[in-house]
Parts: sequence; structure tokens; C-alpha cells
Amino acid sequence: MHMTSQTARSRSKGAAAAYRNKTKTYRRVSIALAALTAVGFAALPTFWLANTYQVRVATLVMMWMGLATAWNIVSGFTGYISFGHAALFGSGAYVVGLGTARYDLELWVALPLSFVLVGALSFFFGLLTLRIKGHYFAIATLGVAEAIRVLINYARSITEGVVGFPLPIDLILIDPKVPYYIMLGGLIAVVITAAMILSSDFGIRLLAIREDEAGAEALGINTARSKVIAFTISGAFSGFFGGMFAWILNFLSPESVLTPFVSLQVAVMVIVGGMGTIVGPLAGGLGFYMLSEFALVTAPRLNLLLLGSVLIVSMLFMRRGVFGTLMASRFWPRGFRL
Amino acid sequence: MSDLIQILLAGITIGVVYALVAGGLNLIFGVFDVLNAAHGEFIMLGAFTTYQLWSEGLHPLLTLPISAVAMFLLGIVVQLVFVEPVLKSSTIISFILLFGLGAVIRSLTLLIAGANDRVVFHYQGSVEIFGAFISKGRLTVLAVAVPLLVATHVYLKYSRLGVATKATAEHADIAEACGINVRLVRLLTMGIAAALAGVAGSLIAFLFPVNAQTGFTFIIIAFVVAVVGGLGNFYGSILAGILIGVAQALVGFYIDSELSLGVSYLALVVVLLVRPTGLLGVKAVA
Repeated sequence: MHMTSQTARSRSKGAAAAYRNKTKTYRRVSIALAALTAVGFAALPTFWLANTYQVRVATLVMMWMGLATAWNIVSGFTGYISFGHAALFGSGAYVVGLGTARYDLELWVALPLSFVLVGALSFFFGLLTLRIKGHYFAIATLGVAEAIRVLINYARSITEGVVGFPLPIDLILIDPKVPYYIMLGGLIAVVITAAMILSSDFGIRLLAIREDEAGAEALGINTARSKVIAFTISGAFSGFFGGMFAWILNFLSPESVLTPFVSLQVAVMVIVGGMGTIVGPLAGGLGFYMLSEFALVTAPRLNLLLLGSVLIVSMLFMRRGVFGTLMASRFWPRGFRL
Repeated sequence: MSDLIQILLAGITIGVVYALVAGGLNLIFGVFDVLNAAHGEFIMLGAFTTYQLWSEGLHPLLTLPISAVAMFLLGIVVQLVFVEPVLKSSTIISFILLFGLGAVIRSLTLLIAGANDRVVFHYQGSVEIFGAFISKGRLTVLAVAVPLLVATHVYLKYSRLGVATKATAEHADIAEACGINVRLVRLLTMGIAAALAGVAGSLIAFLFPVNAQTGFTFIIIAFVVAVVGGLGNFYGSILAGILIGVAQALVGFYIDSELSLGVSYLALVVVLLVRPTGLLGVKAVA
């Protein structure tokens, strides 16, 4: 009896060591992949992107990838689906827009400010809504976001309402490669944050909330605190990407940043890519934005039709998203999470 | 005083239209846990049906049954082709799928019919009730929507299929074990909800200009109403629809019409914080 348990233990010890070695290899592979991608994006403007339009599209691709990753931190990890990220993204855009156009802030002050202020806003947003569970949470976030949109529309004396306002001309004249590299920095930062969360104890707590919130609570996890922290991190990054968007767009109105479409689009990107994974939101953001940009350029009238069809087909046949389905298939090496 | 009655009547009118739409959403959610993101397209298609038939010379009231039957059939097709295959997955999957379907329907409508507004010029002038004036359009809306809500209630409470619907909502497995054809119940529920939304769309066309985006703008507020009433609760959506309709009318008149939408979102947040499952919701949906 004693002997067998010892052999079993040593065998399991061996298996654990093998598993750890394997995951270490996998981690190296994924870090190498990520570094390679980052270098690729960094080199892109010098080697391939020919004109301003292409640089801008590449910048926006990275923005959607980043926003999708930020959304995934709260909704993919905890399972609390947020339809309110348009408000966080839009508030970030308005921090930079109003900051530079109305309060004469330097862009280099306004951009970090969008991260900080929207982080604070998200803290309260999360505190308010995260007590609400399940589908009620999703609709509540939509409601709060719409309320913020109504307020920004209404505060006409500050925000110009639905009409919108342009950003200062000197921001428009900056070389488009500058926002490109800043966006790249932002994207790398949010992906590293998400990956670090996913491999930390905090990340395991978030996943526990997704799998069984009552069970997680019973184990002594402060689920309320974990959720609010995740929401704040997610919101701060969303605000930053919104601020970047205002700069790239040069013109700001509620219609362009605050509509529920923004929230839905981010959710769709992550769900089609693969919720709760690192590579899923990146692939979803890249694929979905490129597709909609391609459709917009080649057949603007078919844009919505094409995107709707993609959603229908992917939800009918790949319910866990492209990478979620791939990682659950038997061809995928076990333990290798991207 | 007559101002107040007038505002209340206007609020109740829009409130019963919300109730028709949100009531359908709640029936669907109550029976098979799907949030129908394509529900707005039933509204839009219902409105378009009424406009089309009216412009060809039919009396607007006669277009209502046609729009209801057409949407009932479309609802059943949607259920069979798109919803049934994903019923076992989580709600977010069917939500995104139906959102995609809604986008497809909307863009097809835009391609075929264009983006311009359509107006049904039929109900003009108003009627005086207790010193308050109510437009004939609103009066017609009330005269159609209220009996329709009552009819749905009678169906749910007294008909065999209605009782089967409630049993399925209560516990689908046990209902099936008792010999209820739950698949048929699901099909009928989606059909009825779609028909209610179609009629709501037709009624909206009596009051406002409609276009391809009409359904989509309406559906967000309908979801708010459904949640405030309590997801899955048909009666909750009637209560919440009327409350939110009246609140919107009051704020629109006494404060600022631009804030009238905002008050419904405020109501949503306040209600959910006090009662996390809505006014009449009981089960916490996880």
C-alpha cells in the first residue's frame, strides 16, 4: 500500500515535470510568435505600406485588435458579456478630442489622460453594473452606455452634440507613422497585460468566476473585487484606443464612437476569433476589420450583408470561434494555449 | 390637467407598442433562453408590409392581419433554420447569430427598397377626450394593441397550447416528459412573438415615418423594457413598457425631448440595482 502510493506519487511527479517542460516549450513558442508578429508590424511601414491610406488601415487594424483584447480581459475571462464598451472607447475619444480642441492640452498629455480617466470611469461603471448577473448585466451595460451617449449628445455647449467637432489642425499634419507606432505600443501593452493576467493567480480567479461564480465565492475568492479590477483594466485600455481613434479620425461625433455598433463589433470580433484566448481577439480583430474594410472599398452596399453572413456561418459551424474551436480539436497539442 | 392627460395618453400609446415588442422578446426568452437580436427586423418588415399594402390602396387596418401572418411564418422559418440548430449553445451564440441575421435582413431591405422614409398618411386629426386631444393614429394604436395584449394573455392562460407554453417555460424537460411537443411550442412561441412585433411595426408606421433602420433603433429600447420588466416574464414587459412609455413622455414634455430616451436607461439601471432580475422577474438567470 505504502509502496504503491509512493510509486504513484513519483510517477505523477514525473508527469508533472514533463507537463511543466512541455508548457515551458509552448510558452517559448508563443512568446517567439508574439515577438515575431510585433517585429513584423514594426517593420511593416518601412517595407510594405506604400501610402497614407495603407498606414491608416494598418493602424486601425491594430486598434481593433487591441480593443478586442481589452474586451476579452473582462468578457472573455469572466464570462460577463459587456455591451457597454462603446461608452468607454467613446469617452476616451472625447477625452482626447475635447482635451486638445477645447482645453488646449498637448496630445502627449491627453492620450495618457484618456487611459487614466476612462480607467476611473470604468471603475465606477463596473462597480455599478457588475453586481448584476448574466444577461441582465449585458443589457445593463448597454443601457449605461446609451445613457452616456445621450448625455454627450445633450451637453451641446461642451461637445457640440450630434454635429461633432474637428481636432486641432496640427494633429492632423503629424506623419501617420507616428500614430501607427504608438498604436503598436498600445497593442503590445494590452496583449502582454492580457497574457500576464491569464497566466497569473488573478487570471485563474477570473476564469473561476466564468466557470462557476458561486463556487468561486465559496472558495473564498472575492469575486466582486476581481471583476471590478478586470473591468477597470479593460476599460482603461479601451479609453486609450478611443483616444487614439479620435486622433486618427481628426473629427469627433457621438455617431462615430459611441453607437452600440462599436460595442457589438468588438464583441463579435472576440467571439468569432475565440473568447478567453490570447490569439482569438487578435485574429478576430484583424480578420473582421480587414473584411469590413475590404467590403467597404469594393462593395459598400454589400458590407453589412457580408458581415452578417460571416456571423451566421461562424456561429452555426464554429461556436467557440475560430481559435476556440481549433484549440479544442484533437489536432491541437494539448496544453498549448495561445 | 388636460396637458397631463394628453401626455399620459401619448406615453401609454408608445408604451403598449413597446409591450408588444418586449412581450415577444420575453416569451422567446422565457421558453427557450434566446435573446432575439433579430426581433427588430420583424418590426421593420411589418411596417414595410403595411406601407406597401396601404400604398396599393388597402385600408391600413386591413393590412394588420396580413403583416401578422407574414411575420408569424417568417418567425417559424427563422426558428427552424437558425435558432433550433444552436439551442444547446449558450445564449450569446444565438444572440450573435441572430444579430448577423438581422444585419442580413436589414441590408437586403436597403438593397431592394432603398433607405428613404415611408409615411402612411391615413390617420389625420384628433379626437377630444375629457378635454385632452389624442390623435386618431394614437387612438387606433391603443384600440389595436390593448386587445392584442389581452388576446395573448388569454392564449397563455386558457388555451391548451398556451398552458403547454407556460409549462415549457417552467421546465422544458419535465414538460417534454409529460408529452408536450416542446419543439412545436418553441416554433409557435417564435411565430407569435414575431407576429406581435410585425403588428407593432405596422402600428409604428401609423405614427412615425419608417425606414430600413426603424427596427434596429426600436430593438434596443425593447430590450431595455424586457429587462426592466423581468426577462422571460410577458406581464413584466407590459408593466415596464407602459411605465417607460409614460416616463419618456413626461420627461419629453416637462424637461427636454432629447432626454426622453435617457430616462429609460436611467430606469433600467435603477431597477436592476434595486431588483437585479427586473420588476417581475423571479429567477436569477446565470
